[in-house]
Amino acid sequence: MKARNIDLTVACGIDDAMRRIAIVRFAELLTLAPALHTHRARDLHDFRIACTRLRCALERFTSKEPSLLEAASRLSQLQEALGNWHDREQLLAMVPELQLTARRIAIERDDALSRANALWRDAFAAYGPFEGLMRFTGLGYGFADGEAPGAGT
Amino acid sequence: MIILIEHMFDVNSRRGSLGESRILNRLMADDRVIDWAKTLGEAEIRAFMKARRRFLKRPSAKHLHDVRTAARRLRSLFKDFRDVLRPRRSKRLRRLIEVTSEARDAAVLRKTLRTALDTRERRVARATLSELRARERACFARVRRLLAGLRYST
Repeated sequence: MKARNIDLTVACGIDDAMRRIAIVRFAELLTLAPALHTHRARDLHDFRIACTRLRCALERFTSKEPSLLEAASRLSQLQEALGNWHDREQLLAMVPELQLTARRIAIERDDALSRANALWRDAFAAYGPFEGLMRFTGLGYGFADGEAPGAGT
Repeated sequence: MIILIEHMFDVNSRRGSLGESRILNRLMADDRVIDWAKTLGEAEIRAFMKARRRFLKRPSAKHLHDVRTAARRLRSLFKDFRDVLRPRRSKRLRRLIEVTSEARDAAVLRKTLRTALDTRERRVARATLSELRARERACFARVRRLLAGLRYST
């Protein structure tokens, strides 16, 4: 999915510009989060890219806004879990003739997706890793207490 | 919640994305935001050029990872600040990211396959492992060529 354009011409100062960037990138992530529930490869790939975009942006802001550090760190963990899922998904398509090996890889792939789901759900807990990001952007409230957007059951 | 997200996107898409309006946008933007964006851009470019120098001097998996990370961060910055920063050499940068990702994929898939490989299927897997190794080597050579033609000055 193409990254949304961010209108910084109306930003009043650096703090406002940071907030505008974080809001758009976080909104992109929330919109794509149902992929964790549907398990569609294309949607999960887009969700992973959105994690990368938001993380890159937040890491730039942490020197001015340290409250975003935890969210950046959680996004890095999410990216790693989704990266592991993606690698195994690719590998499975390459080795259909290796049945025993493919079975192991499929287990690892499913584990990686479960981990991504758990990381996402937990991020929205009260005082969880996304607390600072939710405060900063004003987005994401109402999903706490185990009801993270798009989280699978 | 969804309405709020859609509203945010609407607010952002009010202005056109044509080159003409981008120039106008740069003229309209707050000076503090432009200066900040320039400072961030210079830092990312310095990091990219450092990673580039290291890779060209000694190509290795670690240096490839550094180039890929720095290139992705730079591209992400150009996207975030599209209204206030002029994206530079964005096509070449995108191509570099694609090739470094291919190289990384080949290396990681080879390692993952070797780790998960059942000993009874070792012989059958040999061809796939060799193919991945060859793909990784070919990508390294392409990354070298692309990097040689991609330079930024701060």
